[in-house]
Amino acid sequence: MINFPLREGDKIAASIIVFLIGLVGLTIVKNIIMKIIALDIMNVGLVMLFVTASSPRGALPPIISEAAQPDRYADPVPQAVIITAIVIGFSILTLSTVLASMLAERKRKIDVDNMERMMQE
Amino acid sequence: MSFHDWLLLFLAASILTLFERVRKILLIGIPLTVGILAIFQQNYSIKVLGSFGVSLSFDGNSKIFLIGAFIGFSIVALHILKERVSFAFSFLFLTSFLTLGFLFISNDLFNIYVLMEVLSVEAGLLILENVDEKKLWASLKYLMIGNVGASLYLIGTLLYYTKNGTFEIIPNPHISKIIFSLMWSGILVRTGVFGFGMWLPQFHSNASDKLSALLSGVFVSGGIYVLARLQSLFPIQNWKTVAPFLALAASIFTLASKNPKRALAWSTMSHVTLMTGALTAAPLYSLSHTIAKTILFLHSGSMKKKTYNMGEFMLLLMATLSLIGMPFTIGNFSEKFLMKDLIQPLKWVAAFSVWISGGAILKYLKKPCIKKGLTHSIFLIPAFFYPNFSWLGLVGFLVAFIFSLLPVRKDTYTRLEKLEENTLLVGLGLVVITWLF
Repeated sequence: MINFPLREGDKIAASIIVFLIGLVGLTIVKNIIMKIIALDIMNVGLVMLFVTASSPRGALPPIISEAAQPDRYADPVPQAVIITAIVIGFSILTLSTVLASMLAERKRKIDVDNMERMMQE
Repeated sequence: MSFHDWLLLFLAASILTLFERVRKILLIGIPLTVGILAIFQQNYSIKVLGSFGVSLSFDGNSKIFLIGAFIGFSIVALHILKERVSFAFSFLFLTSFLTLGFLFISNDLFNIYVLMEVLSVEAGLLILENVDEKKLWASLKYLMIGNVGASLYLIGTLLYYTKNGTFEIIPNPHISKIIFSLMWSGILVRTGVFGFGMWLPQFHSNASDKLSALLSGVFVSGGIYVLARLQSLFPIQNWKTVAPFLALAASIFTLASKNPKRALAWSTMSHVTLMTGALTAAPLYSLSHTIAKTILFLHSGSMKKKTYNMGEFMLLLMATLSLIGMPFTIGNFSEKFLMKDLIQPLKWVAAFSVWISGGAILKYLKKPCIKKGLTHSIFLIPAFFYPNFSWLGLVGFLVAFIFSLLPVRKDTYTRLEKLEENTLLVGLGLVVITWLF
């Protein structure tokens, strides 16, 4: 097992910071492609949070053996469900990229202000 | 309707829709099958994966929401019966119906997250029919903002799991304020509540008429279902105080809108916001809202161009009056429940928001009503003698009528023509409501 130098609370704090960086980026950045990248960063923070929170007692793979101590296993359930969330996040990311590229092809400008002006016309 | 039944319907819809000959039969057949099964289904609760809490539950709320989805999708399916239906549209139409149906029987937090996200991807793809720049941007905005809401909800779900060891919605779970805030605000963003999900008016008003009808009529009820399901978990007394004021704000935007589709979208936002403040009565109100909004959005094109005939005019009038809460309509019946569930001093705020958002739509039907259609009011007279008459409906009608008098517009309203098949579905909605309650 690799000994990660960070403590449990630090790992959770790091995940939340990554999530918030993505969220702030999504809110303040004007370029649509940058927004999509921020969305991805936010999703990465979310996955990190799930993985970290699933191993409060230890990071051993949850495979039952007689020798291993049960209280050192990582909880497999959050890790199992986050796979579904990763797939969903990826599908939304892909769809957003397709939509953004279609917009870029048609409008040649991909900043938010331009788009909002177009919606008012 | 167990998990296997849904799986079977998903497979049937996915495979059979490849064949053009059966496509239209499927568009009507699958919602009809689910609707009939939902009416006769007994309550049940199933744990799919044992102790992890993935569970399904069919109860009274599920039944009302499923019937609402069946009515909404059937109205749209009947409306597009004469058009050529592409494989992509029919596939997405059916899968989104089944996704929504599956959401209505879900009883665990993670399942709800997955289904809401799948539904948003389906909606994002559906809007791309006859795509233009406005649709592209509206869809992109919807996906991005929606994903933020879903992420907040998912963090709340994780915290719920760490506290309770299950994803299932259980009675009296350990809930902290942070869990409540994350999950509640996440769903409010996803549902399109005023102040949280401001993507809604652009997304709903830029889609094609049939898709707007689905989005505004049926898809929004998904969020309401989730909130109604979760209300037992959270202390929402404060939110009940805020919601009527937010609904009133959204209804003022309805009044300021310059085209009927945008006004209808704002009106949806106002109604959805109001429903979040009275979640016990929300399922029934959501059903009446589904029927009215589906019809109004389907005919929003002719509302804009003023090309509606007499049949359409009567249909639109009925739907709008139902939104306002006119007696003898489904809207009046459900509105009374809604008003009882609200915090009583705020009943007037809520009532004004309903009247303004409905009256603002009535103004697009103004001309036939005033010039040629004065005689149409004869149709409304029996409503005043209806035994279930309430003062609320009368005041609502008067306020709405005053709003309808405001600006004057041209129209191409011509002569009495046959009523459309959708009128029958309004009647069907009335029958279902009467039978159920």
